[in-house]
Amino acid sequence: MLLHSTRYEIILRILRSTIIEIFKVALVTYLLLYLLNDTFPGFVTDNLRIIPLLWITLITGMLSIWIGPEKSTDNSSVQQIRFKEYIFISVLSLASIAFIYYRIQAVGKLAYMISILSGLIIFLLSILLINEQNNDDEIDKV
Amino acid sequence: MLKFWTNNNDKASTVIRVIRIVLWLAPIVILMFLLNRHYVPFGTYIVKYDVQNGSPAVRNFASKEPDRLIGTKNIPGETDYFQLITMSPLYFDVKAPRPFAKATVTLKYQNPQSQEVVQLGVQQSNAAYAYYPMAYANSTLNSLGDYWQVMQSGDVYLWQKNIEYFQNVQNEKKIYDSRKKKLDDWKTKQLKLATTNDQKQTIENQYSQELDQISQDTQVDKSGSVPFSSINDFLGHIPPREQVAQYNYDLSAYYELPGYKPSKEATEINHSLRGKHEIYTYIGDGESLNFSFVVQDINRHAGEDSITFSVIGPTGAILKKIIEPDDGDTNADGHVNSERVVDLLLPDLPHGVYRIVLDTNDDMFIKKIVTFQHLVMFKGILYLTDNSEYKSIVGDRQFSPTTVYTNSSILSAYTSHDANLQTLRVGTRNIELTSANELVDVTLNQPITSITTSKNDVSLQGNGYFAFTKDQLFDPNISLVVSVNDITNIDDYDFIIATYTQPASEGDWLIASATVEAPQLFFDKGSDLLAHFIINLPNFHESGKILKVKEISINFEKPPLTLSRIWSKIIGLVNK
Repeated sequence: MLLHSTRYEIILRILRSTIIEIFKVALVTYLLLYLLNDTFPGFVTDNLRIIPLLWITLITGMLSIWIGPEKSTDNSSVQQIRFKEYIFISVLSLASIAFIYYRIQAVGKLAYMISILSGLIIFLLSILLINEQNNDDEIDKV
Repeated sequence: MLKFWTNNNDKASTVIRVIRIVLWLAPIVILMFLLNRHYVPFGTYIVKYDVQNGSPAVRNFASKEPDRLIGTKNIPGETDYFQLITMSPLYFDVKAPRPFAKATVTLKYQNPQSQEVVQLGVQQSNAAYAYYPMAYANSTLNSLGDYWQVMQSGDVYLWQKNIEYFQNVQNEKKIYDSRKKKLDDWKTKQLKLATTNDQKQTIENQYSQELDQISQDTQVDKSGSVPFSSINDFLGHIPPREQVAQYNYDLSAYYELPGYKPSKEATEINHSLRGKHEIYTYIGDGESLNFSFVVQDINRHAGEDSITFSVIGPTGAILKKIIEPDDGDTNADGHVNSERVVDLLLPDLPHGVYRIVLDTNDDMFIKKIVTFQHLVMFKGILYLTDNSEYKSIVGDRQFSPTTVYTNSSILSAYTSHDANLQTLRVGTRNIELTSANELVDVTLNQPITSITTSKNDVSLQGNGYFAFTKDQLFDPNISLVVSVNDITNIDDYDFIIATYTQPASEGDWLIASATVEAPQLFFDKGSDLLAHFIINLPNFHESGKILKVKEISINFEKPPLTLSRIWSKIIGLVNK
C-alpha cells in the first residue's frame, strides 16, 4: 500500500514538473516568437500560427497555479539559485531597456528615460517577487 | 524501503531532466524551422492555401464575382469545403521570403460544367500576364467514337481514325437506323390499334426485345489498323492538310507552299497607298524577309502621324516592330515634308506566311514598296491614291488607271471626293460610284477577279486579299490546319493532333498544375516580396459556368545552398 502511494507520488511529481516546464517553454517561446514577428514582420506569422501556443501557455499557466510550485529537494543550492536569478533579472532588464528603446526611439530623447525607467521597474518588481517567494518558502519550512 | 524511495526519487529526477531537455529543444526546433523557411537553404519553399483555413502567405485570394458568391460553400450533408467560382480570373498573391527561379502552381478543383481551358497567369514586370496551360477539357475530344485510336507522348495526343472500323460502324449504323425506323413505325401502328393497357404493355415489351436484337445484330467487331505507330512517325510523314485537325498544336512548320521558289529579282509596287494596310507574304526556308517602304505625311489632319511596322511570324509572334515617328508637323496645314525610307530585313527565316501590319492613320501615304518577296498581297483593304487630288504628295506621277486582283467574294468600294466619282471595271461588269463616301457592294463569283480604276482615289475593301498582279496572290492558309473548335463533324477528318494537358484525379477532385520559370516568374518588390498569380478561365463567365476550387499550392524552387555557392557568395562580397 505504501509502495503504491509512493509510486503515485513520483508520477504526480513528474506530471507537475512537466506541466510547469511546458508552461515555461510555451511562455518563453511565445514571447520570443512575438518579439521576432514584431521586429521582422511576417517572419513568424507567414509560416506558423502562434495562437495555439498562446492557448497552451494559458492552460498550462492555470494548471501550474492550481497544482502549486515545484518542491525543491535540494536545499543546498538555494543560495546559488538566488544568485542565478539576480543575473537573469539583470539580463532581462537590460534586454527590456534595449527593446523598448528600439521600439520608441522615434520619440527622441524621451525614449532614453522611458526605456531606462521601464528596465528599472522590471528589475525592482522581479526582486520584489523573488523576496516574496523566499519569504513564503521560509514560512512553509516553519 | 528508504533505498527504494531514494532510487525512485533519482529515477524521477532523471525523467524530469530528460523531459526538460526535450521541451527546451522545442523552441530551438521552431527557430530552425523558421530560419529554414526564411533562408530556404535546401531550395524548396512550399505554400499551401486551402479555402477553409487559408494561408498566411497567400493574399487577396478573390475573383471579380459578386460578394455573395465569395466564401466557402458547404452543401448540407457534405463536409468538403470549396470556393465557388463564377467569374474569371481568380486572383491570388503569394508572399515569398526571397525571389525564386521556378514555381509550380497546383490547383485542386472540380469542373462540373466542363470549362474548356484552365490557365495559370503570372504577372510580368510590365503588369501584363504570361499564361501557361493547366488543363483542357474539350467536349469534342472527350467524346470521340471508339474508332479513334489515341496515342500520347507527354501532353501531346494523336488520335487516328481507324478507317476500316469506322466504315463498318457507319454501315451498321445505317442498317440500325433503317431497321429501327421500321420498328418505330410498327410500334406506332400497333399502339393505335391496342385498346387495353395489357396490349400496350405487350407491344412495348416486344419493341424493347426487337430493339435489343437490332443492337446485337449491328454490333461491329474492332478491325483494321491505323497508319502511324507513333507521334514522331505521324510528324515525319505528315498527311495532307485536309485530313488533319489540331487543338493547341502548331503544324505550320510542316506544310510548305507547293512549288514555291524564292525570287532573284526585286518586286516594285509603284502605287501610292493611303493609311493602314496589312501585307501578307510567303517566305521559303532560310529566306530573308526584305521590304523597303517609302512613306510621307500629308498633314491634312491635326495631330501626330506616326506609322508602326510590325512583322508577325507564322506562329503569331511579333518578330520585329519599327515605329516611324511623326514628321514634326502636327498641324492640319497640308504641308508635305520630305519622303522617308523604312527598311525591314529579317534574315534566315523558317518557311511560312508572314504578315506586315502598317498601322497608321489616313494622313500617312505609302508611296512605294520594294521587296525581294514575289508573293505579296494586301488583306481586306487597298486604298489607291495616285490621283491629282493628292498632287501635293504624289507630285508629278503619271495618273494612269490601276488594275488590281482579288480573291474576295464580296467587294465594297468608295471614293471620298466628288471629282473622282467613276466607273470601276470589276471582272466583266461596270460598277458606278455615284456619290462620295458611299460604299458600293458587289458580289464576285470568280476565284480571282480583276478590278480596274480609271482615276484611283478609291478605297477597295473585300473579304479576301488584293494584289497588283495575279501571280502575287497565294493561299495564306496553306500552313494553317483547322482547329477542332471550328469543325462541325470531326469524323470528316482522319487525324487529330493536340497539346491536351490533362488534370490528374484525386477522389472527386481534379489536380492541375503548371510551372513558370524566371524571367516570367516576376516578384513585385514592394513592402513584401509578392508574386501575382491568376487562374484564367477563358469564356467562363459568358457561358455561365462554375468551378469549385478547394486548394492551391505553390512550390517555389531555387538552387540549394551548397558549400561552393556559399564560398562564391563570400568571394563576391569580398570583391565588392
